[in-house]
Amino acid sequence: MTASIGIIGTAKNTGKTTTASSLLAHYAGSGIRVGLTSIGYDGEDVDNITGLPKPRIIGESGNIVATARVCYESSEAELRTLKETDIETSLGNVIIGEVVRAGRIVLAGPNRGIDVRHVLQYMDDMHARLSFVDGALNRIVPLMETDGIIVATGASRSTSVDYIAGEVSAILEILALPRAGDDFLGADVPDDRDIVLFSEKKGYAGLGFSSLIRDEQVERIIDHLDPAVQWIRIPGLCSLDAFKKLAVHCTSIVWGKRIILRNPSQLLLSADTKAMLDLISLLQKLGILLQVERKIPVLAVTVNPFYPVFQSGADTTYKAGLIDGEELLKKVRSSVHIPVMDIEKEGPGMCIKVINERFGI
Amino acid sequence: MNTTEQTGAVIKKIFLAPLDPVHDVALKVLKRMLSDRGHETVLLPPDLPMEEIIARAVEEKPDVIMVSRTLGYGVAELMARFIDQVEIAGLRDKTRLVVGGKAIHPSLAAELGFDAGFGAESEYEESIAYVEEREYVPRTEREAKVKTDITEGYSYAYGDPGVEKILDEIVDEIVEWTSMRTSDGIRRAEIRKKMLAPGNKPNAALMKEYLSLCDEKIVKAYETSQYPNKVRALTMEEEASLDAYIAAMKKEERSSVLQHTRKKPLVFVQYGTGCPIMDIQHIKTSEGWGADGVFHFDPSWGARTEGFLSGCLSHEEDGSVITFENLTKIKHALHPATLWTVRAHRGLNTPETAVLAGEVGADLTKINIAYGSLNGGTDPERLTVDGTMCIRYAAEYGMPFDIVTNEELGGVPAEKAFAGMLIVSHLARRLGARPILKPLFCYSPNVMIRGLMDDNYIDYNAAKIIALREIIDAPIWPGEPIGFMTHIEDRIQSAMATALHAALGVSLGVDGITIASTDEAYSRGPISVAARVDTLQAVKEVYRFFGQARIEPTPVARTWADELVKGIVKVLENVARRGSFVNALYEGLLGSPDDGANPGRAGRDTVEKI
Repeated sequence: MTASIGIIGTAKNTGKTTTASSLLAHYAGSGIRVGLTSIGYDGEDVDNITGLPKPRIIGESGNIVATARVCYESSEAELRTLKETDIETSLGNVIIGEVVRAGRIVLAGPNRGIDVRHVLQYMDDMHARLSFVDGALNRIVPLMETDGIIVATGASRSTSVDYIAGEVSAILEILALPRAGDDFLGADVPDDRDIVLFSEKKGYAGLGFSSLIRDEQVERIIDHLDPAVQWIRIPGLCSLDAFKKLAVHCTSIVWGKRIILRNPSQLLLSADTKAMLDLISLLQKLGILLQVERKIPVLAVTVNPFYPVFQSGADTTYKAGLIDGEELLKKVRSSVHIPVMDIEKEGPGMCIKVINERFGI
Repeated sequence: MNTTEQTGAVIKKIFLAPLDPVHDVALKVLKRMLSDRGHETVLLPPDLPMEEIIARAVEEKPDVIMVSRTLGYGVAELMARFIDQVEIAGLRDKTRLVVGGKAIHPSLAAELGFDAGFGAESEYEESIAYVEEREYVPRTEREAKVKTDITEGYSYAYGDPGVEKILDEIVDEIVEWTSMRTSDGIRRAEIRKKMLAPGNKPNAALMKEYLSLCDEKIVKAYETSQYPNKVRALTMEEEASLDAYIAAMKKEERSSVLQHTRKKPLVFVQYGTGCPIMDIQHIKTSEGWGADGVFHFDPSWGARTEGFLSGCLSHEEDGSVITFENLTKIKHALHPATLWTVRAHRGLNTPETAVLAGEVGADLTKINIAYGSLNGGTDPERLTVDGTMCIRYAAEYGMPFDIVTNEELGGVPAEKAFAGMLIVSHLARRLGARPILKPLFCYSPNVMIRGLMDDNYIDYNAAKIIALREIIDAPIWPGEPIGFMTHIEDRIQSAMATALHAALGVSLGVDGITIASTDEAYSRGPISVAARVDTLQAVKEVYRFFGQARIEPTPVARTWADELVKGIVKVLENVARRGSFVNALYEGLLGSPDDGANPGRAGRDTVEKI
């Protein structure tokens, strides 16, 4: 069974692809079959926006890669086609191939969660023991289909070390929300696309909408909310404002039950992660448990002191900038409780150890 | 499934969401186009919070969400967040996401997580095809070029029967006079025709007869493979490489359209690097950038030489040697819609050129007895005999031909040059051919002397067209190229001069124009491909800029047109009165030494009476 690892970033240029490449290079020649794809576009010569050089991805012999047709056909690595999928991208359908002769590859894979799931299944069918899914920008949702997450952050998110450390800590706390218990997970929730409330007295009450965005949606929930309700399941988007309103109401009735989400990414899509975390903490203080159906362990954090500096009047509009890498590493390490590394400086050793231990490799 | 009445496509519901407050024009254009096609479109207010867009999308369930945004650092993360939010909100299964913006291209769309991306290079039709889930057919394929008959629809009727009567008199004399004369040029043409007849095998006797009519340098080349100075045969490797190149080009055959909402004029360029390989590269580039036709420029020494060489030959200086083999390679390389002219307007081989051109499959040729005699270096008597036969061949092979009035560049006034052109045109009609009038759009010596373009380049050029249209209903294709003598050694000026003259051609509704590259005005060396693209792009912009609008000459153009008509008629009367077209040429009635015209010497005393 393939163990899949998604590499998410807090922004562009935080070192996701460097991390993926580094891990790939480590497992080359190890006898462990590795699969690789991306939910974005990785391995190109220069960045689409900044024009600065990007890290290359070298597919090693035996790797299974999933990439869009345009990238597949222009690959420098020699590839043997294993499957042409019907997963569509802007660069053509995704093709699964095996690297026959090592070389450079550009990855543009599935960009929806359901398609990531299918690709990982294909990788499993092709006997990949480990599969890496390189992230894109700060996208998270499709990577909730993986078995473990590496978070890449750095100066391109903010040049303030305190900010970087504070944010990644908040992200990790949200990703660490507990899994819903078996009593919920075993429940036969009708229409799991909609927000559903459950009480033993009244049973299930589906509200006919899936996301919590508008005031009127919050009010609909409140209308149904009474102390008998044991949990609310919200499968869709939770905006910070709507969630705040719900939280305010919860404080007034001292409800103290559970809010269950499909996965923690629903709370990571607002503009202010720390504000969301504060809100979660407030709810928890009121005895309201936030839980998730699917919990994905965070394996490590990688940090990157590089950031692109915009300059006007020069031949290229961006040049490379650096913050203090040592300080960055130190601050983030002091803010979280999992391994933190600068992969470019320290290599992937720490990350490999965590992966191997976690997945029994 | 509901389909639109307009196109039969399944009706889609489309959200158009400008994500920043200013850059929403493209979405508004798309809204109009999609609505016109019967789709349900919702244009959201600009700069709406993403969550609000998603809330509405959850309620209204669009089939497609099209967003536009200018990109800068940090914006990509916002767009990526939007994609995540759409997925979490449960829309991703049914709703396709499209991003548009100047900087967008498919790899960036992939990075951002969109299903498709359209940028500055994309046509609106491409996004519409995506929405409608059908294959996009690029404009170049939708408007696939087909070959046009530039003479179609013209009656060649005269505005003044009196003019026709004068021309009849002149042409009667020419036809009678030439019917009693021949030359080696004509004999070689007859032999060439036999050699190229279908099913005919190489015939030593015919070749011997052919060579007996050729100059020594031609004979030497056939007998010893010693070619004239600066001419060599392509090696086998070079020929194989050329064939492979042509085959590769044919696989990616591409042409594009310059014209916007008008169909005319067609745009021609000339080639003649000396090397058939480079010629074909120039031709393919020109086709790819929109040229409708190309014409072959051959070396001037060839015009003074009796007979043609054979084989795939390269020439180190300007002009590509005419041989059956060179022409065949070029023909093979041409896009099916490209019009191809092989010139036969001067020299000692004009009838044979017409035969070669016809046999190889050229679409057009160029013949002008007056110009070829007075400024092209060929003896008037010889060229009259040969040129008349050349016209007969042009008629036989169905090749229309242009009658270029390059005498103007030597100083001959337009009225004389046009008189010569009209005589050749009338002769063509008598012999069953289809002539195309080719006045020059140029800043000629005569115009300079008389101050006719001191104010602008529009009025006198317009006067030419007005005058010719008054005289005869015939196709008009200014050249050669347009704007000649107005270009300077400046790439932008050179492109502008060509473009503005093209704009005049467009405004006057002419049938074709010949344009130069930006190098040709002053190049003392090779013409670069980039220089070709300069003017093709400039002319394309002319079509776009003008659409159906036009340049309006001042009233002086009308005055000058009237003067031109009178001048032309007077010259024709003089020629008719002289009673001999050939003598009229010798005596300067159609361009004198004072004008800058001198009867040519090549082929003097080589005409024989039958």
